[in-house]
Amino acid sequence: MSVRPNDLVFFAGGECLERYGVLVKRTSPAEDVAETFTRASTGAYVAKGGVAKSAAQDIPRVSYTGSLFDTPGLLLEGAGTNLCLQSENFGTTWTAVGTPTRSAAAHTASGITLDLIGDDDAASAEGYYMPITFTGNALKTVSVDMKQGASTPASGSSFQLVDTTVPANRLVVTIAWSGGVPTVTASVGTYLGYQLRADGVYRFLFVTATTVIAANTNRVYVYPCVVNAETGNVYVGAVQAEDSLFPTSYKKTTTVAVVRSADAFSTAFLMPPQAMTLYAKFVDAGNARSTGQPGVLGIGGTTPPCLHIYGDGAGHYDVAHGNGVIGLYAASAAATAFGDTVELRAVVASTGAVSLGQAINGGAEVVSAVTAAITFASAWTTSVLWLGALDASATYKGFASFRSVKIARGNYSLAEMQEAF
Amino acid sequence: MGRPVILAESFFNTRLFPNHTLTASEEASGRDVGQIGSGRRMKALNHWTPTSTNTAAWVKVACNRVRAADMIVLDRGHNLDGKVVRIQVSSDNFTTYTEVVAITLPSATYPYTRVDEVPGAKVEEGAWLYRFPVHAGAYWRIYIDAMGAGLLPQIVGLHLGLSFSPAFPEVKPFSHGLYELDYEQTKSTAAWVGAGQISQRRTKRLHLKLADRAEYGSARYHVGQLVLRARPYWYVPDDDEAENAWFARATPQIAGLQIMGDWSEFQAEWDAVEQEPKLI
Repeated sequence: MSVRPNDLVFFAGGECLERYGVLVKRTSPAEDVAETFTRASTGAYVAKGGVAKSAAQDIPRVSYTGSLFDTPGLLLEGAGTNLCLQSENFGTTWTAVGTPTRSAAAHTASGITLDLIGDDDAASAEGYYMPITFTGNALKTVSVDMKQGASTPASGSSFQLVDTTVPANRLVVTIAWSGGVPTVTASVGTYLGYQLRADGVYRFLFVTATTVIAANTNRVYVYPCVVNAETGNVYVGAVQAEDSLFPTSYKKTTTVAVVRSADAFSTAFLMPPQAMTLYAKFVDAGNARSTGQPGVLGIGGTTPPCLHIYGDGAGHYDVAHGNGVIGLYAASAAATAFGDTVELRAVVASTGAVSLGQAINGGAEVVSAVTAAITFASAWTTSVLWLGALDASATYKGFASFRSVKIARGNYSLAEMQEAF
Repeated sequence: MGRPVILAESFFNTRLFPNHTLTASEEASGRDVGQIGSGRRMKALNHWTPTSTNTAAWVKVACNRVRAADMIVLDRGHNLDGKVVRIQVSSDNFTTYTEVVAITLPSATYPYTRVDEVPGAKVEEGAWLYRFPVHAGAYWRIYIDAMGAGLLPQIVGLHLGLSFSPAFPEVKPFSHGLYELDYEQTKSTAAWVGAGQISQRRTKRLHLKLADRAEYGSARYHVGQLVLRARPYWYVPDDDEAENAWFARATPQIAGLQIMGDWSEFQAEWDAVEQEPKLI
């Protein structure tokens, strides 16, 4: 059994954009109403082809992934701030260690400006450092774009976050290169993975292993060579440090820290409470590491009657259905991780009971137990659907790139929802 | 036999998209950029051109939402054969942008031209069409490189949007379009028969068959809501012979998507005639 066209009442995301030309499905000019979207700042994304671009204020970001950068997703994030100044210019504000060589703006093809910095001293380490002013004592996130240089040191380059007051290493990473492909080793801290850019550029993502003491002097260090006795160079730029447990999209800085405001995406949702299947496929951009309740989607706001799919602060997802009297929720079994491709299928049965299926990175779906039954309310509190959030507030902002979000009348399997258009 | 392609959407058509804003690098007096989305095809009465010769020029549309496109048509009457045309898309009004493709427009018509292959297809009447990998953005721009001393671009009609191409070829009988020949005959007193203005207008009954329910939503929009609301559209009968494309409009009729007895999925049939055929 497949989902009948008239039963697919909602379809949004990158897959919808490819098929229908817009981010929220419409099959007539009368339905061609722009979604409600706000973001009070510009925002960076990866365009088709892998080159970094910028979206203006209040313009949604369609960010492309895949080895060919041809898979679009609707990128929705909460707010983020890059605390590292001069993120693409080691010639200003950065302090040199020794006398490193520097070719300014040596790479721009990826849309990010990278300097080619080198260590030509075969006895001592050379590089650059920048102090970072963090707020609050917690784990912190740092990220950097790199590309193999013209002269590659055998042991690779080093990227570090160091508390020079204690002193203590919060992050120590070695990045070695072979044929343009990196091998990343985090001896201190956690390597969360990379995001590919055009022209052989990689964005590496890290989180510190231990709490960073904000009042201390914390510095980001970039060394072209891990080993003092080696020489070589590497393309580096887009250095980002955040008061966050996970890296958010890159924000270029010059003289001050730069804030990217939160995305807010909503649309009218006129289907009243009834049996339905909700499907969301997204690439995790921070939900799994968020300690709050990052929203995937919310119908009706946060005052019942409403329906939510959200993270539980520990990498799992919940579906919650409230009719104004009773609330139910079902939780996914396995924890997801940053960068995972997650498929969630929330089923609201004709009894009002809910269950949640989850598939990670194309694996088999694992379905939760079904909750008890509740009666349906006659209407949601408000006929609005939020993506990447549960309501209009800043409280439940999620961090994900939505490949596909579908809602169908009735109950369907994962395969049926995947194939529904 | 290849698949048909229909381009009924055009971001530069402000009747279809009243919340879109068109701008251009320059506009000569009486040759404003709004004319390129009007659907009119007579160059003497309708075209855009800038004021400066031998200077790069552009036309741009700011859409009311992020929109994806995969096809462009420059109607006959343009003077861009052999010139470089760039399709560009942006999400920040071209502070940053992606260049989808830069093409030197063909100067001749060739048989068996594929609509997906650079440099696109030139129709005998002079229109040029090209289908590119889907891109999306809130701003689209057609950028024309400087054309040479004393030259400036002229565009009569520009169509840019998302096309619709069902998985199956058209149901037979198939043609690239039949010809409706029309002229007034008068007979003199000496029984000589003369002809008035001769017009040759293409006409056709299209019959599309959808492969599955997944195509229904797209078909409803492009065929049911655009084509069958008498919006002119570019019709490519066979995407492997795109040089046979023509600009069509559905005639008054009863038509739409329906499941008929010989196929389990939706089909659509309708009659179309050529919009503003070229005078012979």
